[in-house]
Amino acid sequence: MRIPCPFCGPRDVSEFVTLGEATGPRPDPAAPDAAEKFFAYAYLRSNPAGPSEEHWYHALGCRSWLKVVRDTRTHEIESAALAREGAR
Amino acid sequence: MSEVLTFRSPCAGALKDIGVAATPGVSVRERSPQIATVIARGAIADFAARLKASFGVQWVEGSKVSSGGGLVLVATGPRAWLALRDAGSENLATSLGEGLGETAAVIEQSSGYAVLRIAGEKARATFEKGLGIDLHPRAFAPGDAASTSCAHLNVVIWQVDGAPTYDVAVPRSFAAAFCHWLMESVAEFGLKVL
Amino acid sequence: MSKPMRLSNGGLLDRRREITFTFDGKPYAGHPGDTLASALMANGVNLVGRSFKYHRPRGIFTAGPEEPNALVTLRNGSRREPNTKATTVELFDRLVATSQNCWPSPRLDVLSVNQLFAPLFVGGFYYKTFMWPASFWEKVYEPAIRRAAGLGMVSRLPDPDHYEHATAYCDVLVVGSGPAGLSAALAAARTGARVIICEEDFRLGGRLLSEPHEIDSMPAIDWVARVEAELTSLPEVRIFRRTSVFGVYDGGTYGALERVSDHLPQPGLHQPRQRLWQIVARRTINAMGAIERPIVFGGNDKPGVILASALRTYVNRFATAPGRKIAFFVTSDDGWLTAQDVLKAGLPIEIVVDARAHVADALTRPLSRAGVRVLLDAVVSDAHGRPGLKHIEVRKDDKILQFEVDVLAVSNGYNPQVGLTTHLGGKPVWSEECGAFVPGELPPGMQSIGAAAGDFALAACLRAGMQAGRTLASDLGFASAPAAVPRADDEPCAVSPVWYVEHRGKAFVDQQNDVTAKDVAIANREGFRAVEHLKRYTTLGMATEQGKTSSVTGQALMAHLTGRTMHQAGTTRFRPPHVPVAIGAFAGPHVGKHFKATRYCAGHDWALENGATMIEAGQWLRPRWFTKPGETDWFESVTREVKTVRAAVGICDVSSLGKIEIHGRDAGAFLDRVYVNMFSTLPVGKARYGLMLREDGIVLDDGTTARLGPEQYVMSTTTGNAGKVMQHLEFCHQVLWPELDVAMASVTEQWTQYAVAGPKSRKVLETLLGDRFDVSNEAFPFLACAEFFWGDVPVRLYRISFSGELAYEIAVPANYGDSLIRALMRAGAEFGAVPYGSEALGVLRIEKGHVSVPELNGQTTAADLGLGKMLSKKKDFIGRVLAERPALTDPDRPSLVGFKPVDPGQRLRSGAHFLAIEAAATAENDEGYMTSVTYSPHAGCWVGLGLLKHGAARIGEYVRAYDPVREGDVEVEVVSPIFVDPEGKWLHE
Repeated sequence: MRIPCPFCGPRDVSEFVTLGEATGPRPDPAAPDAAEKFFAYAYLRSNPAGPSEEHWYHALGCRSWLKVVRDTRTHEIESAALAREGAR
Repeated sequence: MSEVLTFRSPCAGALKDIGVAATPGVSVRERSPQIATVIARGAIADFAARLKASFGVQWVEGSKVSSGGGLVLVATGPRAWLALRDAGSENLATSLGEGLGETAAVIEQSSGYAVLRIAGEKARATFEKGLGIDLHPRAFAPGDAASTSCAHLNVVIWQVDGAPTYDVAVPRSFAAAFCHWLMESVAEFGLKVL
Repeated sequence: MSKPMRLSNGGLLDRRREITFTFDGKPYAGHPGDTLASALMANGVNLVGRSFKYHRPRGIFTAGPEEPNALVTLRNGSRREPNTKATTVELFDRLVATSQNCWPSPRLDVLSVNQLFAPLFVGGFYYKTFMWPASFWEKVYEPAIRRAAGLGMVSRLPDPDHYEHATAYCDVLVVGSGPAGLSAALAAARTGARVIICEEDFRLGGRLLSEPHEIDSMPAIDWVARVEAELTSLPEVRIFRRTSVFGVYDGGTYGALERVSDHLPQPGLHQPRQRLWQIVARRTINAMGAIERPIVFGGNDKPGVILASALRTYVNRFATAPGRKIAFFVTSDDGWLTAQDVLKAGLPIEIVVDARAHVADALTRPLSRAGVRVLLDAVVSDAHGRPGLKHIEVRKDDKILQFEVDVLAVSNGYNPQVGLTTHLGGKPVWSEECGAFVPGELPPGMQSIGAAAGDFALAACLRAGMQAGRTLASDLGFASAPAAVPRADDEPCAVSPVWYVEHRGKAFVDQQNDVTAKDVAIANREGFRAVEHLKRYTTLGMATEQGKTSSVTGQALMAHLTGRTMHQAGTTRFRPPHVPVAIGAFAGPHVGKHFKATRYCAGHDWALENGATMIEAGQWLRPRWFTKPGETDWFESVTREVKTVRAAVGICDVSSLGKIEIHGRDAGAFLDRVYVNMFSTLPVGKARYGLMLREDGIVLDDGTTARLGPEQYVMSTTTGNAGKVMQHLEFCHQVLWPELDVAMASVTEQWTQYAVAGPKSRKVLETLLGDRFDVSNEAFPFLACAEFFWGDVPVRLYRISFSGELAYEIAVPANYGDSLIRALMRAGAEFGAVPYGSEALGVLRIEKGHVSVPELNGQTTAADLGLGKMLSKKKDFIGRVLAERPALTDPDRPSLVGFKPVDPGQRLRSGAHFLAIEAAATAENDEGYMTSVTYSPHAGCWVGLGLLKHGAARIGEYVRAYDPVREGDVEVEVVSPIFVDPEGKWLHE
């Protein structure tokens, strides 16, 4: 698999670390239902058969966190963006 | 007590000539520049303006090298650079800190990397055995930079000229592993240590 | 040396040179240009091995990588390589090959008695026969089966050769160099696109090396040479010979194996044996051609039965043939073309049998005119002879005719090589027109052309190649004027495949795995009808050949038995590797101590000079202990080091701990969010212990963070977690809080850092630093930090302690690290300073009750470790919300306490579980476990840290530390985890 890092260009998947599905934004810790929200944030995944929005870290490259939309059936990468730019 | 701390480069003793060919296909020289990590703090435009004003260096966007007056900034991320300047009287991190002010954080790294200058007509054929990126002239030219891995080691590589000549920065603790990879991969072409 | 079966003319051989080799110890000779198979054949050796299960005699069946039978063991000693296909081995001087699976020789094989038990070995027999008793499987059945069946033997010696990995990029990758591949490569290359052409043979040309066609009015072989010359002259073309593309991966990535030195007795100086390529291609042309199919009839595995296309290759390319009385059994026009070539080479043909009733006169006439007997609408039902073919039975109109022959060439149409097209999930589709499976949905960027796409005729291949090469290059923006398509004829290539002929003898579908037509019938009867089930129940299509000559035939038989069409039956999924790849090639240069890169500290050489025994900590090498002259074991050395630290001073390399510099206006606020405790309030010039949680509330890491300036902190992490913490901090900044003005970088590599610990540590630093820096308790108290210069060299000094002693850590840029340790030891000499390693470090920290990796094990909360009070109530931080979950705040959770054996002579073991003294050793009674143990010179006995249910409330109680794995069952007293200086006075002295 090759991931098109927005800064470095397409790179082999071996340069990246995946964190799995992007479940953000991080919930408001002060909200009355913070406990439930954080539980969902930390544990619940939709695991789609199709496009999945994921966090990948370009560990052996520019050390950017990316938001990658990857089709879980074909490994086709629909998009990859710097996470900081679409942050939260 | 009058102890003096003495300098020892990361690759000291790790590189040797390998001579199978009459003219070695690759040459290598360990450089010992001053190095600093530079990270933009605010808008990149402000950083670029200060860089130009204080050092006369025109910032180049992307995974590129920006240089001028002996100062080289190699992009290592969207907001980060490795700054290098040959050792001189002025401390690089200090002068960058002063020159860039609030626009960037500057972190001393002169001992953090081994920097090797690798050149020759077989340089690309050698790197092909470690790098996962494309160094073909159509894909990578003088002034281009890449943060990537070489035989599983993280490296920063940038092209200096069309000879081709490349500079490679390797985290210091991996210097021996990198030299081992280099010596093994370059053996069939021959290596001259400069 | 005489070569009885070498034709006097022709062949692409260098007849001026002779190379010698041995097979089963007997010397033979061949020529450069031969394969091992062709050289054996030329020497009259047709029986080359015995089959996998029944030990039936087997010969050479094909002329390529699809060979199921002619598997030999190549070379000897440490380079011995079993299961090598003689048909792909390029002959080299002094080659040594031996037959496999037969003893004492292929001709006289003791285990051929297996054939008598053939009924036992039918499909699924392993599953059915060796079921009971279960213990027999491991001890009796499996060893016996492994001895009797199976292929060659590995050398069991370390591989002396070197393997390389490499990556190449191209615009157009062309797989295969037959007429389609060569013309595609040429058309693409002429546009200026970067082209890589991979050919698994040692010569370009594919079938043009075997078939006497004319292209552009010249012999095809000359056309190949001309194209090769043009390709070689183009700067952006790379030709990889002896290179098999074995896998298609996501994103246009291909795996290819280049056999750099397999054709040499041993690799040349600095040359690898093989090179594993990762090729990244924007477009790919699959021109891998097609493989001829066998027909299932009785005795169709006899040595002498051969694919017609292979015979054509042996005759035309290698100037040899497996016999002198040749018969053909064909269902295709192509078989007739082979027969014509054989005739032209002057070899006698006894008979050509075609199952079809009508065959074009143009095909039959040259043969009948030469007096060859031609039988249409007839089949070969059985082949006989032992060990090799002696005669065949031909059935025509219910009459059986016998013919004495020693070669039977079989032609049943071709299977396009669809393997690579299915690696990403595409399914081949059955084409009635071609009588074969053709590629279905292709991997992105790939196009199949020529025979690989079911387009068998030569002119069509050339046309398709020229067009594909040009089109794909032009898709990528490389344009060129259209060039003329090379002129050639479209030879006839009709086929009406016959999968199965009524027969009497054993009829093989898969010769490599000894799967017969009967086995397929049994699989059907027992319900294993889906092609994937058929494969696994019978082993059809497994092993080195992966069904290249057998899969489609097996599926056709099953389709016939179940009344399904070929389309309905479908094919099994082909997965990489398409051809066998040695594990050594996948491992590449990353073997032995280079399996993972080693990270060295700047003080490494000094440590070795001073008797250090090293240990791996992650990728780092750290001193474990330093052996002094006269010391005989590690325990003695470690105990001395610990005692010296407690009594005087010791020096320890802590450079491998992670160090992250964090800058910016919001650096303090950022640290407040990632640590459970406060850092924004830390004064400049001070350090503080910090604890980090994961978002799920479990402890991630700990360390000391120092504030060097208003907007500058330096964080330390454990050695093993340095990368993970950096990644976590980047996530927090880039993903969660990009608005914060924070900049960070790892400076682990930049600084060499030594701990100087013990009551005399201040004296050592005073001596070292002189008036460069005031290290007095007043000027530089506990938890102070500072940065100053030593000449031009920056120095960072921290007054922190992991050992519990008065201690400092001093850091200089790593290029001065070697010099620093030497200076430190000189300064420490008069105070009795010794270096200490990670073992002593561990002893010291356990004695002090400091948690480390065994306690930060991904299962513990702050409260578990007695650090619950650190969790700030005044702010949010990563992990705060989920750390409050009931299960994580359950008072029943085991928490950190210390342990001492009741009998001070007894040893403790980490990993032991705690039980109440009288409780039975069951999981229900488990009350926690020991995390760290050490012999404590201070306490004079073993001590431990561990996690015990209600631990803090049970000081003074006794429990058992139960360790069934090492038969430990020790009564221990629950004590405070802090064994030395519980008030922490030493730190402040």
